[in-house]
Amino acid sequence: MPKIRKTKVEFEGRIEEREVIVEEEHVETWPRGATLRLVGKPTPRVDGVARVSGRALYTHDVQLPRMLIGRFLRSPHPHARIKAVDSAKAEALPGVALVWHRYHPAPIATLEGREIFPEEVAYEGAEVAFVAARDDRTAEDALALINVTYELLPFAFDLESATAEDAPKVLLDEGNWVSREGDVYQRGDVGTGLGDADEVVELTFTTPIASHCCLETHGSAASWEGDQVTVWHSTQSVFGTRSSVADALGIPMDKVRVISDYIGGGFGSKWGAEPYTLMAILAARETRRPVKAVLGREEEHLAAGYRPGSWQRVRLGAREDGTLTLIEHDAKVATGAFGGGGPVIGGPSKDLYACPNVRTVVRTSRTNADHARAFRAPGYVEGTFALEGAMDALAHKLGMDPLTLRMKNYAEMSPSRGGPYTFKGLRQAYEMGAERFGWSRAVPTDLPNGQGPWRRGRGIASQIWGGGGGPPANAIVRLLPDGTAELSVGVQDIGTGTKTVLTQVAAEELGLPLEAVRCIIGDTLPAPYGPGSGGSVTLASTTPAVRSACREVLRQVIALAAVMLGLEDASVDDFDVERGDIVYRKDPDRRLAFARVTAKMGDYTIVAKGARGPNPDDKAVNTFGAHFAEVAVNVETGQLRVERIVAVHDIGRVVNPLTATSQVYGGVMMGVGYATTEERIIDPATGLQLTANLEDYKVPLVTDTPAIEVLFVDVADTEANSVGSKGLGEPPIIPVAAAIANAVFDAVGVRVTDLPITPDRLLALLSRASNAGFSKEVE
Amino acid sequence: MRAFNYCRPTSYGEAFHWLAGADQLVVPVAGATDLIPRIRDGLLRPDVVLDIKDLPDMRALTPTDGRLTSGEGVPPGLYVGAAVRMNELARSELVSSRWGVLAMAAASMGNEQVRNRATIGGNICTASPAADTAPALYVLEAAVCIKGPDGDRTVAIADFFAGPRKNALHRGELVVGLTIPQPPEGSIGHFEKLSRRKAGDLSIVSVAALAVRTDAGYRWRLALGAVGPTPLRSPESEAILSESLTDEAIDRAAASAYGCCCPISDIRSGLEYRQAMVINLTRHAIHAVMAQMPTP
Repeated sequence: MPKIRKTKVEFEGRIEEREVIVEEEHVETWPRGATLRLVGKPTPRVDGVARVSGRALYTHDVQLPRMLIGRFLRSPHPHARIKAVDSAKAEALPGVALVWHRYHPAPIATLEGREIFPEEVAYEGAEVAFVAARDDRTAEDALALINVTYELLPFAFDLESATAEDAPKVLLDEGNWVSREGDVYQRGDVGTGLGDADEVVELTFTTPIASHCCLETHGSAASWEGDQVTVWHSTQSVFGTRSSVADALGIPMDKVRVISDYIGGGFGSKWGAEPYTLMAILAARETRRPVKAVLGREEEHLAAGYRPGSWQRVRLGAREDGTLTLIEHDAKVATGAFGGGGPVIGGPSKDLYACPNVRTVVRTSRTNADHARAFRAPGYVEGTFALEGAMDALAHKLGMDPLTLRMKNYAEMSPSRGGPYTFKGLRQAYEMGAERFGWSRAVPTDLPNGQGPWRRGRGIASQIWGGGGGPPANAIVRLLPDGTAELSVGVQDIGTGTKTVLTQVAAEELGLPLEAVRCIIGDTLPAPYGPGSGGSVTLASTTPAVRSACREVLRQVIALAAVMLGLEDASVDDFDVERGDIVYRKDPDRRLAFARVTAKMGDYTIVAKGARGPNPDDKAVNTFGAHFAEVAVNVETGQLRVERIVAVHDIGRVVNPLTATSQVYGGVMMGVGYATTEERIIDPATGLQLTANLEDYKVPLVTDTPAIEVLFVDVADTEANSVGSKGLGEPPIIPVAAAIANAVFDAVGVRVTDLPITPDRLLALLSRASNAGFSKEVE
Repeated sequence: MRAFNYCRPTSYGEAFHWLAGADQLVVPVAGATDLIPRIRDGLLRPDVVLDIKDLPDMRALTPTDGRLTSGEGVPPGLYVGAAVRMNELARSELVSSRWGVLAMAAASMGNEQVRNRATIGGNICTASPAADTAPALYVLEAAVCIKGPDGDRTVAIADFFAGPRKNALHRGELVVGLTIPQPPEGSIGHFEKLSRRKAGDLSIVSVAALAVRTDAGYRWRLALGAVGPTPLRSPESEAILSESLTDEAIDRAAASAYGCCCPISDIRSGLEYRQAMVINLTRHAIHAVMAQMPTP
């Protein structure tokens, strides 16, 4: 029976105590070293063929009869007041079904409390008008015929200009600071920490605005049947979308079905209904035709979110022996015109090391930009770059090995929560990584120093993240008469391999081959609730629910088998499931093939539901990792080559080493881009983006990708949940930039504190350092 | 993307007829790697896109002592049709045999997919100061073959580039190819570019160097890209290097190259970095050529 309970869940750096309805899972936790048939084995994606053959249906692929295409006219100015909109010519264009804007609004004009077409547009790319037309080209032609009269307003395009004394107002009726005092975390006392320190380092860092660059741009398609609407939405949360659509339309949830079969990347930027979703739904209702609205690549840069740029100052204090006495971390971020609070940049400083005196502050300002969104480990990527850079500087100042300094301050207990971890494998990660990388070797033997203009260096950085997941999450399993099973979970696979791991866990638990389980996700209609794919929670939240549902199926099968074996009085617990047989434990010769039981079922279907139980009380569930980077720097051109990354992660039990390794590859590549080439550049004179495309916004290509070696601690976290696994979506990007910057310091003796590390920037630092007679040896 | 009409003539008469149309914007296209993004971004709104790839000899890649040798006094060399693709140049044994600097430049352009489509005619007609083949064509002293309704003419490559996205074509004319003189046996060329990413990126600075074998030694040619409104030669550097190859001379040659440039700051790089890289890349290219010289 469901019970109401309190449980703690960590989500993107914030610990939430949720009051949730939970059920008993009724499963035994898989112990460490358990012999499992499918779980833990490298397993190709169950939908791999569909993906690579083009059969997989992404939102962009949705084609329905008589479907219209929706497109937006967007503000070409960073800040303006809309005085007039003349859409007569666009409306008269053959093939145009409707045009909506401020002076001819859609039937519903707001989404989550914000006007879709406000009078005051506060960023380049803000929605000004919507057109639905018979095809993309007609829609585009119609947009060109809309005449908008703008009154230009002063703008603040970045953190500095928005927080200056006489800064222009980002929004006419709001102050520029969202939070001037900031989000503050404190333990101990900064003064005490400073007083106890023998050495202090203080560094200032900046990080760029980074775009998600999802391969599939944001988009939705909508189709009505009577009073029911089906929405295809490229989203990380089908259930979140269902709520926001029902809410926006004021219709019951059961009238809304959200489908997101396949998603071409989200990385934190794709959650609930967005203006294009609502416009597609309303236009479809109005025209009685399906409508699809997807963003173009430029719109993706302008109006689909980003990781905010940051300014950070970190001060560390330590005793001579390296014991940390102080971590002070001050950050400022700009989250756009309608952004909320800043990301948890202080998270790593709060929790990565045992230190008695810690103070972190994150102040948030508005800017004339679209609102910032979560982006793969929001805050932790930025914060780790600063903290781990400062740790490296501290190690250098103390004359200590950077790895030794980290070991010295290893947190056995959760520093912010005070209690123990369910499991922490960071020490193993350090040791495994150092061993594989050859950290203790003074100079890498195969890569000699000082040849030509290239200098080599090595750096490390470590990482903490949540990823423990939690309730609520449900699964339904149906056992069919031929002994195959359908598994239905209300999640979506944003590319991480969710469908595959859910199938593995179900097949494992049911004792069936992988092929005998069909996994249905990405659809709100057949499935009970599952969480959004964010905070690296999907696997740890849902796989225990899947086990629980499968276990309940087995109970029913066993009960039937007991009757068939003439063991009516035996308890369900007296049976095992072994290689497709149900076996009576007290007399293993009394066994019955699974399929023989199901064959008896006729048209009866065994259906069972499972739910995720609560997280353990008073224990922190976290993931950890350490990255070791080797780089080469050309001292004449400032070029940086990231040559090798050894990435070690502790995520509990690894359910699928194949997809987990892919996940780390992707995270490292994204981190390399963040560290070396990716940066949104805004023209100060116009406030407009200069990099709103993939030609000028440089994501790394395969030729820029280092050799990546992936290792897992792979010790089941048996206290975290019944599967013993935690999430991996976000961790692999977190330490990359810091490890690279630390390796650059090792190579050439200059500390890069501003990302990305462009040749331009690095050469300027090198020449400044050589002019100042600076070298690593005399720092 | 805005709609346009597409036509693919097979005769020059037909092509010039289209190009003469006064009432509509007719834009020639070959690989379309530059044109299509510009149309998509609304920077260009052609009514007709005229594909030149089926015009006679547009895809020719032959020695000029073959049938395409035209006119008197053309030295034996290479004829490259305007629609020859970058990867054809990069992989041609003929091009590599004597015009290796061009093959190197072509191989550095864009990425594999782009090189499979992009053409040399398009690369020069776009007239970007950062056009990857330009420095190579400058040191090879290529001539651009132009056809128009009123006849044919040739223009030296250095006169063809007139400014960013400006070339020497008159209205109604087409570039049909390039003739490239054959450097004497024993000449050595090198091309190098610096960009933010290893592939799929524009140059921050590019340099081509060619040491032309003479009886007395080598006569040097040096050209730079992305550091001024057009690609450019550095005559002073060339004179210095032709005279002497001491470290001091190389330094002076690099400094002279720097003196020729008038780069700008853009999103790829700051001005100061570009200037520093002119010296660095020039010196590097000189050394790369010298490394291939036979030891006396």
